[in-house]
Amino acid sequence: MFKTILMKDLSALFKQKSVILTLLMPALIIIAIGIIPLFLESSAEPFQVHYLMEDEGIEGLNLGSTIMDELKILFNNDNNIELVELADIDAFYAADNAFWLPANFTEIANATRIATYYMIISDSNIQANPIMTGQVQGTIDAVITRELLPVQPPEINAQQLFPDEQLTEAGVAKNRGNVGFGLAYIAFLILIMGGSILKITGFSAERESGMMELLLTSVHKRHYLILSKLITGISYGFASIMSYIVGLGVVLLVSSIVSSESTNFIASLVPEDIITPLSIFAVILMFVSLSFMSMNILLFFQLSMGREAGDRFGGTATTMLSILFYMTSLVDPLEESPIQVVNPYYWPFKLALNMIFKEDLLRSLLYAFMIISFSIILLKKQTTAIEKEKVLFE
Amino acid sequence: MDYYICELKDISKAINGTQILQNLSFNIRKGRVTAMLGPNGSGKTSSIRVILGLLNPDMGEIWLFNELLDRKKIRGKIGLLPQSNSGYRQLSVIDNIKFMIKLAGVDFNSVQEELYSLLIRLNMKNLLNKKFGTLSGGESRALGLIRTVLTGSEFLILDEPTTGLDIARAAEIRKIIQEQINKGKTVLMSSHIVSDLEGLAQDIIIIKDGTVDFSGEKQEVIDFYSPEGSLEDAIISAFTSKEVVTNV
Repeated sequence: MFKTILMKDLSALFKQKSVILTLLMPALIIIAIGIIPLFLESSAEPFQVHYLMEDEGIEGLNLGSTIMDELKILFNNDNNIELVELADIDAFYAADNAFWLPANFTEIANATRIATYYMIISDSNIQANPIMTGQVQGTIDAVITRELLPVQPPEINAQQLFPDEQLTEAGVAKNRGNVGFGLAYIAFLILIMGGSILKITGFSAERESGMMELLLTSVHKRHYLILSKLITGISYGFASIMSYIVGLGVVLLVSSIVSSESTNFIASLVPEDIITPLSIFAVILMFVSLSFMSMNILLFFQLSMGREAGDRFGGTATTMLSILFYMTSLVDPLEESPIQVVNPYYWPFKLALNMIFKEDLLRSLLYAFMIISFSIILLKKQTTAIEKEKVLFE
Repeated sequence: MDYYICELKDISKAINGTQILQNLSFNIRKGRVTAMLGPNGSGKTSSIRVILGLLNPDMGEIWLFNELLDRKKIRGKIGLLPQSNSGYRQLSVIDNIKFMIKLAGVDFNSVQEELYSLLIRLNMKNLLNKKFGTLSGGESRALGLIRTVLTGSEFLILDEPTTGLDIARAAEIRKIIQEQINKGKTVLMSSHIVSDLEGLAQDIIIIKDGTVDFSGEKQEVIDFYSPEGSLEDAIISAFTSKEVVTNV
């Protein structure tokens, strides 16, 4: 009987054209954002990386010269990127995308094991972030580490200068931030879409289609009805993930064909070194958990408060939680403020981030425990509520 | 006891402080069509829900199939045609029928022949692959009845089975219901359509203000409320009379 109910719920959802179109949207958007700039860039002027290289070096070591040699080799075959030398410090401050290796760069780095250089990155150019923090900064950091490592691992300060000269985070944290922002954004979309699909598959929809009485009088084990709807919600969440993955896959494929992966904005958000089986599993787990929890909360309100109040209150509660989750993640996806920790939607998100960056095992276990406990409590409440049939009468 | 398929004894139920059923008692005889009548809001739907185990009474006893009602055990044993047209708009007609038949634990292949026969009789065979949402009100109603009949339940509760149907389909539906009675099934029907009552109903229960005003065979109802008039006159008289009479 459970299979019959589940197949009905899945058919009722996935046989709707609007649902299929909604699922295709993420793939189409990612493809559009990722691919169109590739072709626009190919006909545009090359991206200019300005540099001011003043490093005088010390005997036997000039980090600046080595860095410049490697950057020239890196960009030699790339028609889309051009290295442009700056005349002085005033030109550096006036440039859009530039880095500065000071005169005593090697000397101080060698003496103190702290290498500090400066960057200016334009906010207005979509290519600026992946090129400057990705390729340029990556090359500089790699050279510094390689040259100074035999003695002692150096500390590297890549100080980004904005017009107001505020300092920002270094590249590694930036990568984490990119992943966090990306995940939070996609999670937010799934949570918002989850609310809309419940209008198609939830108990309110059953009542609107006149089937609620028939189901309650025909189905011996009513928790089958709840489980079926939860699995349908998870399937939808999973289909959404597949849409993102397909979109991303197409972008990466096209990028590799046109040899411009390095300048692709979408590709730059996913640092290659974190694409591992564990991180893919973590992301899937996060989306499945979020879909499950979102459906669980909405169904709980529908069943325990009746149709009208349940729909209104459940819809408002999940939307508020989703918005709070996204807003707090926008401020800083790596932060753990009290307002985030009390939000159930934050738990799968933080668990996934911890798994991707292999951090804080104990806290990850705590989040997993909270997710499981919260889900079980809601499921039990729903099973009790459906036996009281509030959804039918109130 | 075998004489009745369902007995309600002194059922009372209040929801949010409003008494919707009060000392409601009636019996439904096996193998017959019993019509439940009453003005709007009189308690017909609540009575049906009590029998279905969907509404737990505050007081009273319900006996069904010779057993005291067990709300969990009764699930799947009664064929229900709800008052509203029920079905999944996005699924095809055939998928809707298959779903309810499978839910009732009936093998679809075993009823396929009967299904096509009923669809042909109701001139609906060409609708099988259409989306349920595209059907007219009358077509949805007829389909609901087909679905209810095919679940194979001994006891059918039909809430306004011919509402919205054209004359030809309504007449065919009445024949189909009569055939179910001939097979030994029992039907509890709620309807305000006089031709349904005249053509099908054998017993009638009049419910007013949450209690039974009168119950008995059809002729007894006419004799009681309007001895010189028709069944319609008797029903109008029953609905408009202020006095509540406790009877059989």
